[in-house]
Amino acid sequence: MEDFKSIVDEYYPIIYKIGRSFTNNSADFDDLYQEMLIQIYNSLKSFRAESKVSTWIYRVALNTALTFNRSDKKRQSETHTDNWERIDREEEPESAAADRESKIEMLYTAINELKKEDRAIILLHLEGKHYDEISEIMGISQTNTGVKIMRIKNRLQTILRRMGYE
Amino acid sequence: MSELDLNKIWDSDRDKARSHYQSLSDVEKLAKKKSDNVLNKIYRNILIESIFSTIVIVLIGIWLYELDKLVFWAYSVFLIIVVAFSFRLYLNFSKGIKSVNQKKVVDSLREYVRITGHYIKRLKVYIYYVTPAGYLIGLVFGAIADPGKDTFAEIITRIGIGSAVGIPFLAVLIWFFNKKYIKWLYGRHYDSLKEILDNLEKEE
Repeated sequence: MEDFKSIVDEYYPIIYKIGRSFTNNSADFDDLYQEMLIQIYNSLKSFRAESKVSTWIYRVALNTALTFNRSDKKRQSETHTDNWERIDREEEPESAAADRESKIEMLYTAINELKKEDRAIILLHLEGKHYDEISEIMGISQTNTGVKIMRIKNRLQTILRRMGYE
Repeated sequence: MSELDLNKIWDSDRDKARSHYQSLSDVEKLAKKKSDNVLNKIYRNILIESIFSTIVIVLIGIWLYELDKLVFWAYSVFLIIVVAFSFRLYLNFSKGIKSVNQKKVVDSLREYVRITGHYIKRLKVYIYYVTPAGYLIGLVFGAIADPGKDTFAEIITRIGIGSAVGIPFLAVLIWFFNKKYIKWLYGRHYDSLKEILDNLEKEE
């Protein structure tokens, strides 16, 4: 169990960012965050170190996020109670920290507008992963990875411009 | 807005991640909870179905044993084949879902689509064919095993009336399960997984 602890302790920002990129309210985020932890915990027993730990973590977390499914009933009841976007838009950014915070929220909102599979790819790109590693995590060719990244980046920038990102 | 900016902003989000991060013992507690994953749900459903089927099968067995020994033994042989087949399916399935999330995203999605699609088909076979067939076999078995003083024509009439009452009921049940239960629980999710997989596999 020590392994699980050290893995989560090192990779929690990734788990957090994937959770934020694949949900648009805090209730769904909490569920996905928990589901990713469950999957990492359960998968650890059969982890055979054939790939880097970071590659393995990205695979487990992204596979969990891509296949994450909310029931309509639950989604409807939660959308009105708590929403990341709404909470942060109410704040008027005055300091540099608030400005940075606002930009982070805008980036997540823009990522949320992308298709699920595009979110996974751009997230890895923003994490600074090279094409070969993205290709290794996603299971698509490096050429296809490059073309997809270009297309998704353009789409993301269009969304951000529309949102007033400077 | 340069790409560098986006990467910088993305990297600066550690503070919020840190504030969200619970203690490791809390994380461990979270990780031990019940999974909401669709394959784990299917896995749990199969378990529930197996327990329910076993209870029904045992009750039918007891009833047949009281009624007719020969029918009981025929039923037992059939039962052993069904149990062995189900057990093999169950083992393969549980082995498959343990490692599915560790695969490359495209391979993992393929497995999700395959397993979920297979389960939906299996549910449909049960609903469309096994349920009506089981109902008719039950009617025929009941009429043959316990004919009383009825003539052949009266037995046929009894089966006919049973079918006339039962088949509309079954039709409603099949419609409900197909339109509501399967579609709501798995169908939409299956479609969305299929779409993600298709988009990823598409060469651009």
